[in-house]
Amino acid sequence: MNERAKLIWIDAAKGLSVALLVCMHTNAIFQNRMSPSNPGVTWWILCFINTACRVCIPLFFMLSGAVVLGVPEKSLIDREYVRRVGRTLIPFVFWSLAYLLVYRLTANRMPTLNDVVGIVTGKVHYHLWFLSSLTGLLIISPMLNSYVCATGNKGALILGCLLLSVVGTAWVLENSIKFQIEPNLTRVLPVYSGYFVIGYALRDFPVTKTKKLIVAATYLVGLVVCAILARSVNSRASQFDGLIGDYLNPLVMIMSIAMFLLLRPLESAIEVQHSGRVTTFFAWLGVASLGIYALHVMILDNFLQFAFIYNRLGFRRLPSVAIVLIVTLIVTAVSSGLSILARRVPVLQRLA
Amino acid sequence: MVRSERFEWVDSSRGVAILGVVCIHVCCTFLYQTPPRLSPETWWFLSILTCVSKVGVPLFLMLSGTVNLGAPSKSVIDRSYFRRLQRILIPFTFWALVYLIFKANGGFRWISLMEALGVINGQVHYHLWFVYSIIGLYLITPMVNAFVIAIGESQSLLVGAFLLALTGFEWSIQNVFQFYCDANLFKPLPVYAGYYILGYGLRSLKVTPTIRDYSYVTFGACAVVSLGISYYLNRNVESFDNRGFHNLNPVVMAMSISAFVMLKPIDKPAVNQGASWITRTFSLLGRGSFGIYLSHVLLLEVSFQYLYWNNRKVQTSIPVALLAPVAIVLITCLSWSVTTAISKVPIMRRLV
Repeated sequence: MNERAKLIWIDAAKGLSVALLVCMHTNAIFQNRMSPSNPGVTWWILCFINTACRVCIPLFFMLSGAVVLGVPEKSLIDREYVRRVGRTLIPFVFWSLAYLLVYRLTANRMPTLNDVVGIVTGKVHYHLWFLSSLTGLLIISPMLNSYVCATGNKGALILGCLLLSVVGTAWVLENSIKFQIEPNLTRVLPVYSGYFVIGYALRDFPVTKTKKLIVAATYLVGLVVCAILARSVNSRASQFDGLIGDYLNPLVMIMSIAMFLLLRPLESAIEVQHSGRVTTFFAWLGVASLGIYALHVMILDNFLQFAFIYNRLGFRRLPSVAIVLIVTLIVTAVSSGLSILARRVPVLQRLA
Repeated sequence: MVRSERFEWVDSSRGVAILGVVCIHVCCTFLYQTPPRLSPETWWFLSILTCVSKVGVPLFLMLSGTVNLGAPSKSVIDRSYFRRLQRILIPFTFWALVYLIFKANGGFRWISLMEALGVINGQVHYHLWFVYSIIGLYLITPMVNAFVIAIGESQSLLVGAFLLALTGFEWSIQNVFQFYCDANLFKPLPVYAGYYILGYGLRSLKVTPTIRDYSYVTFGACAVVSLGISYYLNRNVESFDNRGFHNLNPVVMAMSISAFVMLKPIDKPAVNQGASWITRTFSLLGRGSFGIYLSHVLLLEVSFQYLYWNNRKVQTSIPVALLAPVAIVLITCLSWSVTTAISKVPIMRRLV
């Protein structure tokens, strides 16, 4: 039961993350079209939606750390390790090729040999960076795993906090006073490894009602501060500047950890009673999260072309906030449907 | 005691490595002259010296791995971890400030606080890149250590070789074909981590006379290839192209590993066999290697500024092919003397 509850809460959390991700990408399309120099209510609402959704990628990293780290056998480089790395590396290469082909062919251009080699070396469609980052983390996971197994939760928590604070400080210095710290001092491990380790350290953290209130308040405060900072950064910009939403911004780090802790009690809730409908739905989304992640940008781009450029659905008359929510729902539904279908086909199982 | 006896050869190897580093810096002083003013014979002489000395820095990295990795107590971030870091950070900060104060034209001037912060952002002096790299490796030593203990020496050898191969591949396609490479996939660990882990993996290697013969042959063959590449790259260029001798060039990697095997004692540690005066001299150099590394460039630049570049008579009367070996010996002796003198003063002992 315990293992089952753990799996369900992690799947549900992944499902929520991928839904937030789709919402964030949809929101960005509309936010980028608005002039930030003269913000109205709509701009502020979109800004809040964007900031609230920024926790999605850190959540993915933390959930991956919670699953991958802490198992003694995973300290070794064996067949299981190769399989684990392959589980992200193969979809990364496949989807990069797919995006390259689709986007080049729709623009009536043939992909060149340079484009294809570029995929092997990491020059890919913008949203696929996450898969290469995750692969990098999985490559070094035996090393992190040996360390967290040797030091336990406390050692992992210290390491995770240390990694996040070093990267966060470097980010603040670089973006506030343009002072760059030598990379050998700050980026000794992949930049997102702090999230990965902290996910493991907090995976069994007991969240009581009081703690829940504290982390909820932390998340909300982080959200408001981020939105205000985003406004100040954008006050003189001609186009939306997403700097404050960067996953290495310490405020986003705090918000993401708070969100992770807010989702933690799901496990005990599932243990005590059967998972509710909402949890089951998000767990279902979570199972298909890789496919949704890979597909949603393609669907989003094509759907928006269909709906807006040709104005087929009469969307232009609706307020932007409503469109963001509707498009998010439609894109999530279509990509999750396609992902579930692909998972039933043996050849495509590993790609979605 | 057992440990110090076991690693006695490490000191003499460090001595060889530091002599190599001084040799590179002296030779490059002439090779990097623009426009090139060296005769073909002198160019070849200096190139051969640089080529065989290029194993210096990789040797340092491998020897650090040999000594630092494998002890269970080093698997955690505790007081001793910070003490170990301190042992590098204090001398480094001191010497970095000295280099910042010292100007390339041979004079000295006081620096502002912002200039002093250059120590953190890596803009100090060209040769200090190595110290940043070694600090980066020291920072992740607890993780790497826990990992190598879990997998053992033979698997560490494979991991080190894999990391070197990955870095070598990335370096080659970036420098030969000018392809962009995703850092997440190709550099999940600091670029020199391969040498560091390999040093640990190789420490239990039983060096037989046959293995040593093979290492001599490999070293010689790689040196020839590396020289050939360097000659090809420098045929018609104005400023020296060092790609043929780069530490991440796969040929230099193979050469460095061969040098490591060549320097490892065949049977028992050299001290038990009654070390020769050459071994004792190199051991002496090796024990002060960090201080020599930090100080030798300052001595080299100051002495060359006053005795060579500003003195046309010396420039015309002493051939470079004679001056270079003399300068290597003198600068090494001088910087060893400075290091030893500083280490004898109680307050300054920690600065070298």
